[in-house]
Amino acid sequence: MSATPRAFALSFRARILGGAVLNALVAVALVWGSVTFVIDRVERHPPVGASAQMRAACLVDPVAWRTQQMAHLRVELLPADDAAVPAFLADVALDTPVDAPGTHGDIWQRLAPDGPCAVAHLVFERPDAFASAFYVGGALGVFLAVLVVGVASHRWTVTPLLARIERIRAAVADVGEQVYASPDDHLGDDLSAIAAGLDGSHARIVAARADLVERHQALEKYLAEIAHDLRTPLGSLVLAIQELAAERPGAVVTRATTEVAYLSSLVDNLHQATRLRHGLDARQGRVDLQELVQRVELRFQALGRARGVSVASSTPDRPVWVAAEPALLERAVGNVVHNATLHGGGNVAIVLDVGDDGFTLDVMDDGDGLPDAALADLAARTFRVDAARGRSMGLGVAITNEVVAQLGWRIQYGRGDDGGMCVHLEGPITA
Amino acid sequence: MSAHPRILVVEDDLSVVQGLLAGLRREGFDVEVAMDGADAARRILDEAFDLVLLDLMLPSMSGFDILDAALGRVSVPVIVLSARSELEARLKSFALGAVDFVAKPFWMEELVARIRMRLDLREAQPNRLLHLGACVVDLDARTVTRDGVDLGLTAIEFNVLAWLAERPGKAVRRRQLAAHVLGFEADSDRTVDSHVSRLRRKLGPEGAAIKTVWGIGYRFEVAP
Repeated sequence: MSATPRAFALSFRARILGGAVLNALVAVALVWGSVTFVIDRVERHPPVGASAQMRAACLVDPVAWRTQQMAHLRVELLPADDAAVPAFLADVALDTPVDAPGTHGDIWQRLAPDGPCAVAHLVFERPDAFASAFYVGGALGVFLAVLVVGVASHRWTVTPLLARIERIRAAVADVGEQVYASPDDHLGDDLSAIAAGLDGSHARIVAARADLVERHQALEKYLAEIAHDLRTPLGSLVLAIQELAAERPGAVVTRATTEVAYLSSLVDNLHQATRLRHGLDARQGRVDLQELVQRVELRFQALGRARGVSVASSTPDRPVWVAAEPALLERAVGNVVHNATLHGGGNVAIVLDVGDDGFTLDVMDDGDGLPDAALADLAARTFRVDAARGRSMGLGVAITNEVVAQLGWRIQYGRGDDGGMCVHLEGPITA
Repeated sequence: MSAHPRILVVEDDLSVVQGLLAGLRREGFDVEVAMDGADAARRILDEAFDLVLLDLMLPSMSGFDILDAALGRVSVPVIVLSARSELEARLKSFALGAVDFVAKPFWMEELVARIRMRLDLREAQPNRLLHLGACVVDLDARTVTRDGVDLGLTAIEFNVLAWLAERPGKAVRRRQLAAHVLGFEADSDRTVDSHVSRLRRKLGPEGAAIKTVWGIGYRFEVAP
């Protein structure tokens, strides 16, 4: 089926309106025709004239034949020299009926140059008032009848059709939603077929969504179980390493502490990356950033102590609430602090500040920093593009960037005042 | 906080239990263990503990059920330890009355700090008299004395000391000190440093309690 060229494309409402206008024009034409007919019948006389036969009949008995009545026409045949004959007739050609000047329906005609029955006088008699009223009424009746039929047909056919189409249009907007109501009137026509098709689409969407939710929940459960199975022995390993560090500190234990910290972060990063990849909404939940920063500080103070790095934080004296999934955000901030602790110098500072528009969170170290190209690479890293699992900052930075992007916050990798690295986050706070 | 707070560890993994026992006892806590959910619920109700560390995945009775059963009847702070870090687990824990949620694996220092914080919150109003080595800081009378002799701190010096001492262990930014203590911001970092320097001098050896924190400012640390 070829598409209608755009210049001629019309909505169905425009087409219905056009049809109604055409109908109205036809009705007007009909009424005009009726009125014209009536006016012609009532006001104008048909073309009339006296014939040769009339003169011949008059000549047989001019006196008796002087005046004859024929339907709406009164005919007089007069001698040429009769006083009633108007003077203007002398200039009129024979057999040419003319109206007397200033009249309508008062007709004179010269039948012969002279003699009896030489001039015909025809008078057209208008119908009486009743007849006139009958004709006019008839015309009006035609108009009203056309109008009534037009309105009735619109109400009976077009209005219900429009209502059904409107119901289908409204249902389209709700397809797949809980508020969807079937627009099918079960009338077995084309519109019912369209409505039935819409019902089918709705059912498919609802089923697909339910399936998706079920799969997502199953995956979350599976991931949680795997994470639990990994984290529990990892937890006892972390505790054991710390016990060893307390009893026999040394380079080997420090190395083991660093590795187990890396392993802990890796397990959690992999877990969170999988959750993000499968549609986890980073904005669900509410977190007190002040408490989160303090927790992260405590966690990395232990690692920092093993490596001779001081980790400290500064937070406001009141809660700083943000909209975010708690475990995800803690992992995102933790990754930044972890990297600073591993790759910075001897000091890491975490500074949380809050203003009227939102919060800022800066993680600074006094290490060597990174060149500009490397800083730009950090900012561009996402785990969908680069799922690096090596000993670089890859996956952790990628997850942090992904979480910040989903939350609509801003992150900047730059140099601190002392030459080390500074990671700056900012975002809105919630009530 | 009492000298040896009594902590109940509810955990079924033996390795984790051994690590917690060693670490917490090293920090001076009196630690007992329940490796079964039903046993833990009974002991929480029958015995007096200062704090409970509770795993969620337990045999016979889950951590959530224990919270539901016990916390409606006893007032003891519960810190949940769990390998489950999802939002639902956290929210449910807090909804059932837990005061904190620590995801596994965790570092002992972090756990100990959180335990101390929760135990400190249960103590009576903190004493406004601070003993700093040989010095006594009276936060109400606004005096600092050594062996009964006033050290002659200026009002601003005392304000700096009080502000830091009221936030022990917390790093405070120079800007915060300036705003709350000095009341102005122009050239505030150097002015703050100057006041802290004079304060340290007047406090003598006890001035070492005011630590400089790189990238932030200062922190008040009192040796245990």
